[in-house]
Amino acid sequence: MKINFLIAIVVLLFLSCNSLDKKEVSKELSASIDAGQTVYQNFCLNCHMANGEGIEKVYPPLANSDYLKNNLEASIRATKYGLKGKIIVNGKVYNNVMAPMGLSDQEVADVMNYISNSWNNKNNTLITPEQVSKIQPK
Amino acid sequence: MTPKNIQFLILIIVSFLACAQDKNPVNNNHHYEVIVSELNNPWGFTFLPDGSMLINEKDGRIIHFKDNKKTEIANPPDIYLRGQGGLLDIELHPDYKTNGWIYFSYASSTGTGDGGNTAIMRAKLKDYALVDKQVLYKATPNTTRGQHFGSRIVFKDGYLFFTIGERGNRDENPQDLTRDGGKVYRLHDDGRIPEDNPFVNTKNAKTAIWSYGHRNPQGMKINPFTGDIWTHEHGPRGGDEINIIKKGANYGWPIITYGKNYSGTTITDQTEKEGMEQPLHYWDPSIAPSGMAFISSDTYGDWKGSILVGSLKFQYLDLCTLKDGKVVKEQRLLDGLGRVRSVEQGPDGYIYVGIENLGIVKLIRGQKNEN
Repeated sequence: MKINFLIAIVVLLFLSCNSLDKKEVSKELSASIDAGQTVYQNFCLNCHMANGEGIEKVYPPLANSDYLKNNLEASIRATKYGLKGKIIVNGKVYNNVMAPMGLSDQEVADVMNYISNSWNNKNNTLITPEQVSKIQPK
Repeated sequence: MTPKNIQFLILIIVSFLACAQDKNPVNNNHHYEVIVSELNNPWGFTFLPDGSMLINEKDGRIIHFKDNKKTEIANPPDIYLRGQGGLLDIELHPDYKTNGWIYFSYASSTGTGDGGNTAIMRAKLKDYALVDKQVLYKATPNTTRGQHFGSRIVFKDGYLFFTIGERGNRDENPQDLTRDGGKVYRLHDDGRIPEDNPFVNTKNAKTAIWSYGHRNPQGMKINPFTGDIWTHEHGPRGGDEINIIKKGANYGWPIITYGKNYSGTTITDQTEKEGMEQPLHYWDPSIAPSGMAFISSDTYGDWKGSILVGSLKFQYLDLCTLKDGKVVKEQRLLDGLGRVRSVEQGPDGYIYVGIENLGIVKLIRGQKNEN
């Protein structure tokens, strides 16, 4: 019993830290996700934190985020142009400002692919720079 | 131990690790007045002798504020707007009244290579425009990394001091005297290198360096009681520091630190080493400090002698009580008002605080009198 439980905990921790399921991911997407991880670490991690958990009441989580799942275009727009005002993420209200980071369309696509496929988020459809280039500020 | 006990214990440990929370108590015996409204990111600001303010918005605009009126200053520095980079600090020359020099720090893409790095410029103000612009320093190489520009400016004994962060390259920059980044610098007010800088005779060294081994100092002030240079810097997770800057000293990053990687993995197991300075104070959890001011006026009673540090991460102004040169108590002021970016004591003795997405507010001790 003891040992079973410990194994379960170890497996759970392992899974929670290594949530990227690369089996079903195309090569192109996989390369974009890798590039996106670097962008994330340079530009996003300070506020959204290492595992996309965000900071309660201040910076919304990206991990397991219903906002990301249901508002892909708005999420890309936010990454490209910044975001201001009230949004609701996983039932909690966030009212803050994210300044535009000055990322290229390629970097926006890469980091979106990374975020969309990390920490229990899943999106097998590649987000492309062309798609990002068409998104205009609101 | 029974399995249940173990489960409980693990639960406690996991939840403890998951949320290292800032425990500083909230102080409610103060309020504020909005002085300048509707600013996005007032990275730095200063007061002109006529009572007006000059405010740097990170997005590149310089705003002149007087009698409740904002005027945008023409011909600002050309900035590299990316990540944490943009238009950053502003400081007047100590003899501004005589010579009119205003100093700026900003991210610049001049020079070779993609990206940008921190630059220092001085200029004069004429008819709401910058004139006589002179670039005094530009760090190299350019890099597309988005973080750690440093950028606070102070004057001491007629010298110009400024900080440049390690630009996200901790393995190469902070400990290498031949490279820019992760340093405090000292120049003459016209940009010349002082002959008695500590590394003028070190082979290939960047001779403007005054101290090194820093990560990302976004707070720097002269302690008005001792004349020392105080800085604070963003450390890794759990390793933000306050330091007193000494000539030629090594502040240890990334050889020694009290922090860990953001992911929780270890950077080094060393927190101290011979030949490297210990911080005066460190924050665990990190507050993400930006802006700093000493309270030297009598406006705030026994807060006089304390320092104020902005917290970007937890959105408050940290009142740090000092005793015998140590931080002995911390309290949250302006709790939850927004990301605190810049802090200055104005010529009237009041503390002014630049808050992202809000503006500049005046800190007033005591509860608001509702009448």
